[in-house]
Amino acid sequence: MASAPENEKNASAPEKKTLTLKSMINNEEFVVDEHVALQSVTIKNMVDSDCAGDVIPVPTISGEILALVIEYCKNHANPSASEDDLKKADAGIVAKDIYTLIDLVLAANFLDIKGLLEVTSQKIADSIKDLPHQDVREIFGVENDYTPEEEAAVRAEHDWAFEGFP
Amino acid sequence: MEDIESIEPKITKLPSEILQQIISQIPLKEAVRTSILSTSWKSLLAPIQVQFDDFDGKKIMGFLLKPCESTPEILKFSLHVDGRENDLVFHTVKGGEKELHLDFSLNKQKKSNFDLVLESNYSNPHDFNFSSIKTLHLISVNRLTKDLVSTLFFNCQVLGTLKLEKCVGLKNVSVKASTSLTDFEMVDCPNLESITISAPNLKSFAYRGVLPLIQIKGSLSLVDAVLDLRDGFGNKEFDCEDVMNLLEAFKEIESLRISGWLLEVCSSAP
Repeated sequence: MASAPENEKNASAPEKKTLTLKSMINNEEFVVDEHVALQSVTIKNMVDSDCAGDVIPVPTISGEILALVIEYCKNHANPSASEDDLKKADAGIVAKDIYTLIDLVLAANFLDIKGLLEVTSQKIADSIKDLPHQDVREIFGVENDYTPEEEAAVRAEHDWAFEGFP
Repeated sequence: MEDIESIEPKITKLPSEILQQIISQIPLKEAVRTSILSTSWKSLLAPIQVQFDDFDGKKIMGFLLKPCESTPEILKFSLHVDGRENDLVFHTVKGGEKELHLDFSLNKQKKSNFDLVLESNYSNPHDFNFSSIKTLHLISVNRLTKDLVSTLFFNCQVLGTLKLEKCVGLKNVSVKASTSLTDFEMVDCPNLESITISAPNLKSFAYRGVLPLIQIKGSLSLVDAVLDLRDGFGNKEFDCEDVMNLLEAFKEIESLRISGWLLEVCSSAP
């Protein structure tokens, strides 16, 4: 009896069930252990409700981004990874330019992976917090639609936050 | 999809729930500033309107200390104050459970003089109204709101940073803080005459404005002090002995920055 879990451990990768994730943007395919992929609540729901075929199509996410998502899921599916290891690995995954991060946060949101959503949005928050507002507008595709009077009124509402701000 | 696009034509890429998530992870001050990016960003931080028919301190305190559902959370209070001409209106910005900014500057009430006493509930730390607020920023406190502020401070047993700003009419302020208070800052209170502060673990003391009497009691860990006396003596007579007493209060600290004119005045005095 005692050796049963031992056996399970040794009989690792080959016998594990895998899923194939396919980016519908560039048709790239990724073969992933099921328990890795199931960190995505969206995929888990598909599998649980038997909606998932052998190949799971992932719309609107490119292969490049999907590879990052899978890397994150693999890291976090590893039971022997320490919290420190995971932190370092997460930092590596989100060490990307802001536009990649925006695609990644959308992917994390779509696939419903809470931890990835959090580290990615934290990285975006850190990247934009000290940027000039015009740069932030460009990144998010926002136009300043205030009149100067309206903008002054918004500033006046929370005067303390704008002290020394250009 | 078309509906969503017509409501928010400006946000091309990210849905508002992700933007809200990002804003919540920006430091509070910078997060509040995002409201001037565009009207659509401002709507992400729409204030919650809180209205009361009377000035019920307990109820207000309940709202102030309640953990927020999203962060930052902006509350706009409108209170009908009995026997006064105007209602009391003020803004509160909460950053999670740690940071609270109260801004009373929307009130057009006459500025009358008042004293402010802030005492932390250090004797009974397990009181029911425990609050985990670490940073408290009070702007334009007035005679009408000073009791509210005192009650709030009483409940902030783990407060680390206290900042008082633009309190017109405030003459004497007395702070008795718990061991958690490490940073005290007071700026631009033009009628201020005295500050008395007792905070055993105070590390940093910053002041900007007219020269007040400053008494710092039992703060052995104070290492950094800034006295920016750009507004001069204020309305009162001051002699060098007061200044010496003031400097005495800072004699143990490592770093003291002080406006030059004060030293000139004293060294030229007989």
